[in-house]
Amino acid sequence: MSGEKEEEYFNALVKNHHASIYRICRAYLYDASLADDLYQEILYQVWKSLKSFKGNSSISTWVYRISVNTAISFNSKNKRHQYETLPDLYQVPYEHTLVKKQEEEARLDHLRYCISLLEQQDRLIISLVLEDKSYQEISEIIGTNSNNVGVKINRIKARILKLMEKK
Amino acid sequence: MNFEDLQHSWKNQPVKDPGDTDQLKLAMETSWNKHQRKVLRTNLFLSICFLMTCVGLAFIYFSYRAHFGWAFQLSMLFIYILMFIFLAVSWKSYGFRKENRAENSTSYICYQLKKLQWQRKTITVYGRVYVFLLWIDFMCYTWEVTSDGSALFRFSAMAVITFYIIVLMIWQRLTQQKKALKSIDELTSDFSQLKNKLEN
Repeated sequence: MSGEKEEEYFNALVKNHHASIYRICRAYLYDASLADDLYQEILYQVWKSLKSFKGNSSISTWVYRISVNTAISFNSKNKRHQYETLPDLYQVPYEHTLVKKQEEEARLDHLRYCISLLEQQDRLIISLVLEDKSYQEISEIIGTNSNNVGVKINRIKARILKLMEKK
Repeated sequence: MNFEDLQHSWKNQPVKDPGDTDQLKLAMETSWNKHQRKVLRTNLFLSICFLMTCVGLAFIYFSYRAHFGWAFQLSMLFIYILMFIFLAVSWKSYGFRKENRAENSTSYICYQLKKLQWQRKTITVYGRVYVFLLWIDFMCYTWEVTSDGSALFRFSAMAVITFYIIVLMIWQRLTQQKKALKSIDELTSDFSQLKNKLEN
């Protein structure tokens, strides 16, 4: 890919996928500042990998694969953020500000918190489900068969709904 | 409440503005160039050091081989073996840095596991091979330089050096190596667990 084409590609990628990438980061990491770091790292990895894009998969699958793998790598380098229940300190301001927030914002925040209670692999999968990816696409990104993915997704959805109802 | 409602809220959440993509690219290019320069400098430095050592050793060998015996020749041979093992291990370790993040997550995790296995092997197996070759070199060198002394003096010198190497090895194993292996084992266990849970 030539330099100019590469630049065009990158601009288009950022334009079309930045929202999905950011949401994946927020699903994976509850802490917004850490999610920002991960977001920057993903954009950097996408930019770095552009030359190696051969078009064997759709550009969206390619971007999601890089995002998910970078999230896995980010987690291994920042082990303290891995699958940890948020300390009370985090929950108190959440409870405290709940009344002041708009209903939608509060629900979203609660959803993020519930996702943070899931295990690492479930957080990865749910971030793709929330992006409306099909079973086929998710299995291509994760690298497992779609039947397995279907069973897992149903289990994770049920868990999320249960956690959301607990409040 | 159903999942579709949650999904709708999720997709409508405010997202971070990527800002000016030109600025972003510039920042990435700067970071990438900095990284490349660092890699180039390190590689150049290592290659020059390696070449200089090889030339220096060859010079010593051809200048003094007439004055020394078999131990000298053997120590030279082992130093070269040690250097080439070091070079091969360095190249293979460097190769593992070129990871492909665009492959599926299961393959990516398998690659990370292979990388961790290699790091473990480098610390354990190659670490021991390195120390063993270094020990042989010291022994040959001591044998050569104490050729005029008594047998007691020669074997005492060899014993002191052996003791020193053993103490250093044990100290290193109990401190740095233990810490590095603990971290590698933890990561290996995490990645294996993640891989199994994604697959099953």
